[in-house]
Amino acid sequence: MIITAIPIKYILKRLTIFIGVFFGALTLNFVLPRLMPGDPAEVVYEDLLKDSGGTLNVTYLHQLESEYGISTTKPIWDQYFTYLNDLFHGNLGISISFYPTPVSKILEEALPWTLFLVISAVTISFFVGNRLGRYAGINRNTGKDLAIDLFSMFMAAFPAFVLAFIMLDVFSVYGKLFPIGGAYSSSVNMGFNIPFIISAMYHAVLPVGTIILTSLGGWVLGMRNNIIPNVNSDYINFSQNLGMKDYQIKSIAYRNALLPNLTGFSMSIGLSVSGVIIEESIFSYPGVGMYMITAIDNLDYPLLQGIFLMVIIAVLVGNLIVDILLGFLDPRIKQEGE
Amino acid sequence: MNEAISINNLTVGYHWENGFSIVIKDFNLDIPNGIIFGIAGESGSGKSTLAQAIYHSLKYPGEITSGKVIYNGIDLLKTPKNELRRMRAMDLTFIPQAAMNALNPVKRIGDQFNDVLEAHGKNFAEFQHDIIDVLNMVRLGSEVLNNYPHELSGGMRQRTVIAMALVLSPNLVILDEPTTGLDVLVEHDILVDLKKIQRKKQLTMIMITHDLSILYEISDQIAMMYAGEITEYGDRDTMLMSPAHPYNYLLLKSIPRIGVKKYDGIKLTGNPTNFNEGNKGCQFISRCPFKTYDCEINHPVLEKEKDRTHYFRCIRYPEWMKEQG
Repeated sequence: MIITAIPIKYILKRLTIFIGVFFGALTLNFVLPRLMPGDPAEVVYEDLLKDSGGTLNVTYLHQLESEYGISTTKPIWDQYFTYLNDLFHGNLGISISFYPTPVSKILEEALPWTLFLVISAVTISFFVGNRLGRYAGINRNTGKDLAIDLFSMFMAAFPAFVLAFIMLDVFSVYGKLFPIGGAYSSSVNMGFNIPFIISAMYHAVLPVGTIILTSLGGWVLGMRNNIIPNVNSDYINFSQNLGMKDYQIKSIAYRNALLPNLTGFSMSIGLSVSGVIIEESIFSYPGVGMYMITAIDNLDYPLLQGIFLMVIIAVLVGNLIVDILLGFLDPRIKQEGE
Repeated sequence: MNEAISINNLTVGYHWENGFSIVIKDFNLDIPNGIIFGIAGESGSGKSTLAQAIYHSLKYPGEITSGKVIYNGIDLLKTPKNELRRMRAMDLTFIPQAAMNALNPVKRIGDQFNDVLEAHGKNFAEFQHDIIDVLNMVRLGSEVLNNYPHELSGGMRQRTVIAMALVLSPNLVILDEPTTGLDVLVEHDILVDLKKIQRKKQLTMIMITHDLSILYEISDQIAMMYAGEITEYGDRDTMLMSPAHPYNYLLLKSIPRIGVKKYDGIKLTGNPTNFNEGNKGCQFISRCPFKTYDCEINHPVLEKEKDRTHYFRCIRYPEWMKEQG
């Protein structure tokens, strides 16, 4: 009936902010490792020096330095532009712990798994959690509400790694229902075919289930607490006084209560990329988290930098999407942005 | 029967931590068809509770313990929930206090009108003319249908709320302090519009407010409430010119008049009191300057004055009038 105009001005403003913050984060990502003592070239050189028994030439160090884009002779701004240039050509440097594999290659393999894990888990958790919270809030102070609240609080307080071990023990070690680790069975060919997809989903059940269970509580309680004041708000009273149907009233309350949770959704999509490290290492899932632990253990700066970059992009893109979505869902925000 | 609505023995109270306290007791009132009936009272006199009880929209901790509200021969308090839902906005409607926040902040006004129509099985396209008519009646253009509530001023929002409540042409309208929070000029405009609509559509309006000037401006009949009871009610002119209850008399005296010397007769003192069950006598006794021993032991009943629509609850009328300073 009434066409919602696309708020171009608002979207452009969000995009500008996105690009600004993105460059800020890129710069930080460039500066931080250079503030740390030692540089990756030295780390690799020392290692190789030890292995070879002290017979390496110093020119090799210079070669490593140029490979990493770290130079003691070039000025810092020159290094910065080299870094940016490399970045836009997809060159993230060479990993130390997996020398000589390029970081981009590692991320290319690991990132899809993490994104698959995070996006499916957070999305399911968000929808199920909000529905449960809505149900609990509307049936406030009843047995159902109490049961949902207790469950949510218990799950929200339950440590993720403990739950992961319990799941692994119960369902794969003793139950033998699900695989112990990995992302897909070795008997299927990787690619877009049905056996592979089924295998990937089968392997994801336990890690995704663990993430859902541990993050569900927050959504449920958040939604419940948002919807209760909404159910008693002036506009709900007025809707009831105008004889609106039950489902209309619930949907008005739900939509208004959903807005604060949506902001949380964007944050958690982004943060979860780094937040599922525990699940990934317990379920031996070949995602970014597993590589991150290796990178930290081996002082693998380039790989860490690459992973941080991915996390930054995930957080920013998640925020951008939700910002734009909120512009459509809550007209007041759109106006503020203009 | 030419009563639009009649309230019989209505008793309403609220649950508190220490039990149940009655706010309105044994309330009786017949409101005639086609007039603006004003109900005035101080804060805590139970007037908002009364409005919600009549509309049967009182929520916990409020509870209606007994009584009847007869509308068109049926008792609203005993009507099944779904039946009552269907009557709302179609037969009778409610314009709330704090109408500023009564609109859903995330939907356009047009969509909200659509929701109301949809709830009653009506079609937006079919009712487009009615919507524009009712918006024009409250002096709004059809362009507000494309606006969100936050894009409208307070007065416009209030007008929108009134239009939305009237779009399905109900014939009984309950207004619970409909102009709270608006400045005097906007308030005046809205009241004038309301009266015009009432006259044009032959509506019955029950206007509840603490603002006497509003009531005397637009009402046909006025009732005064004190501590959950009606102290006096009657035609506007009677209430204004010849008050029979000291409360009404003192309230009228308290209105300052420009150009008139400072009034230094008997004044209304003290604070409003709530309904007191332990009080066997008159509820107004603690503030009444004309009280006698009789007032403490006899609960006055609502008496009718001869030959006019004028009821009052005072055993000392008209003797107290001789005592006024």
